[in-house]
Amino acid sequence: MWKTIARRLLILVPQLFALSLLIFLLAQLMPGDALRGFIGPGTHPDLLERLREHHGLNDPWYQQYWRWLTAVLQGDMGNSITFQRPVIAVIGDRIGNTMLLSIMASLFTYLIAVPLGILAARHKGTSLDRGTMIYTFVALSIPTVVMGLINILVFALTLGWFPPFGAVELSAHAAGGWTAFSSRIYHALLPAFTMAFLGTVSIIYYLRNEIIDNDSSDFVTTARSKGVPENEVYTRHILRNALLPVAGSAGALVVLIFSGSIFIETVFTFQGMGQLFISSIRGRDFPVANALIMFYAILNTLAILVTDIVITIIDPRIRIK
Amino acid sequence: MPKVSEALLEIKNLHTSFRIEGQYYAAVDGVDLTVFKDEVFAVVGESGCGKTAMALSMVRLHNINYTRMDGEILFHGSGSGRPQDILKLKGAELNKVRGGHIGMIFQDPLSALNPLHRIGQQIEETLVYHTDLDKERRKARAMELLENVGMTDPALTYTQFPHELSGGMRQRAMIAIAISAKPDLLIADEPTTALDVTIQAQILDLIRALKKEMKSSIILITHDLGVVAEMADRVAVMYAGQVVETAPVTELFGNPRHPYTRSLLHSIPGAAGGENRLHTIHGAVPDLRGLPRDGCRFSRRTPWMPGDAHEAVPTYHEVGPGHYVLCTCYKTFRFEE
Repeated sequence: MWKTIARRLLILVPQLFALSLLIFLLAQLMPGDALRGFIGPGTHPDLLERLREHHGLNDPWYQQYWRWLTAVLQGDMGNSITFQRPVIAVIGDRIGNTMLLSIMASLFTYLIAVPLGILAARHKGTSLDRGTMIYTFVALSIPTVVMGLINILVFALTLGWFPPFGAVELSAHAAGGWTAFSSRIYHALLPAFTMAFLGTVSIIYYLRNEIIDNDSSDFVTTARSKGVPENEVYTRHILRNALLPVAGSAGALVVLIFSGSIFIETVFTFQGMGQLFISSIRGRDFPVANALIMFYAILNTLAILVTDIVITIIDPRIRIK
Repeated sequence: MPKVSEALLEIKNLHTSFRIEGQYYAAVDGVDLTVFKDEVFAVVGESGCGKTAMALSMVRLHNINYTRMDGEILFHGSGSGRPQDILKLKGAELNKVRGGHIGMIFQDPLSALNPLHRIGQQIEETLVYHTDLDKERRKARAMELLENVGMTDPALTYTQFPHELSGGMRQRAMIAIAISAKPDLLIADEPTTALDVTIQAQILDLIRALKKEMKSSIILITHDLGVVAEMADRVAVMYAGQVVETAPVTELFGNPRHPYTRSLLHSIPGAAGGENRLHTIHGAVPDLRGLPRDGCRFSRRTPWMPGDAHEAVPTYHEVGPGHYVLCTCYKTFRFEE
């Protein structure tokens, strides 16, 4: 098992290297260059040329890449054009909010989906099962953005249960400590629920079908033939095997939630990385946009890595000798 | 084999029906059988004859949501004075019989073992429910069982997962699970079908040796007549959910009477004596829903036989000591020219 995990970690190094190269080259392919923001109608071409030379933009791409890579590795991602502050600081302000939102969304997803999937499978064919299936159809067919607007209208504006926008109350933020934290949680509840809605669908489907399949599988028949009581058959044999594909899809789900946060944060005017990403693209703030693309790319790679490791631990068939 | 014939399992008028699109169809349709103590009882027939359906019925392993069972399955197990009707047992009593008094061996040992549990754990699971051994003793017992079933390195196998074992080793592990609580009866459902020929022989030898040692009975479900000849004391031939012939093994091979039994024996390569073409049985076993439910069920596959050769409602005829045949068509049966 440790060999498999070690091997998987080793593969990560060239993976991240290739990823950084890809992102750098994509940025190079974009029309214009880093000076685009400085160009005005009166800008003299000679000045531009001198600036290009000064910033090393006339160097071959691999030299530029190397400079960029070493800077990034030292934590220097450049400055945001819009905010006129280091990119790291700009992202640092937002990352906590997005993390909190995504963790809560993931939590809600599993808290809703796992019990529903289990109940639907155990009561297959009953109205409970059919109700769950109707829920999945609805959750699958309503776009997250529309769902967000509906939730704001119903739960925030009409019922007044949740705040309709923002990530934290300004006064609570100033107070700090527990007051600030609970205010953050309160603000994240509605957007997190909205995000969880879509993610539950695939988990419910997977779990329900896996439980039904496993229930009639040979090894479960063996367990019953051994005189194992039905409840134990269920937890020890059926459920554990049925959870394998759910665990296997966990990484993909986390990525789905993070990328979903791009839209949800915009709908809820939630000050997180997703909203920052949209505004940086709109404002042509490429240092910020590039850093965020890199963040999402690395997150994706890490999520898959963690999934692989988790599966290695729970499924002995994956392990390499 | 001379022995005191004391009944261990009596099946009386067993019907096992499965629901298909809202209607129940009997896969086991009125079976009467008695399995004696300390014998190997074989059940043979083509695929789809109801052999496995019957084997799983014996400890009620069918999904109750779409299965209906009628009749009686009287089990004279050790420990209880009076016979128990397995079909009437409550959950906890049934679980005591399962694994404790009746052990099961299945056809495909890979799918029959839990892929996520170590072999040792899977053996010990039976011990947890049927013995009062503590953790340490259970482990010692599991090791002993692994050795008994011929594992060369029990300590290693104990920690291995099913996918790490070969097919033969998996079936040995399965057997170790089945015998772990020293059951009175082993039900082996096609135990060698998924194995290659040399391994088949080893597994059969193992089952035979264990049977001798444990003094338990074995119900051997198979479609392999070679296995029957080698292993069984008595044989029941099943067709379309019914037993068409029962006899001691030498009698069945030496003096087969029912047309179906004779056709099966005739279909063994090399057994037909001088014929170049292999004999095949006309037609196929009908689908469960299309199963004939009246008259002699095999008559559809012997269309050249005159209709009056069969009984309208077939009954069993004793044609020798312990040798019973269903329907009268055995008297005039001839193979098609």
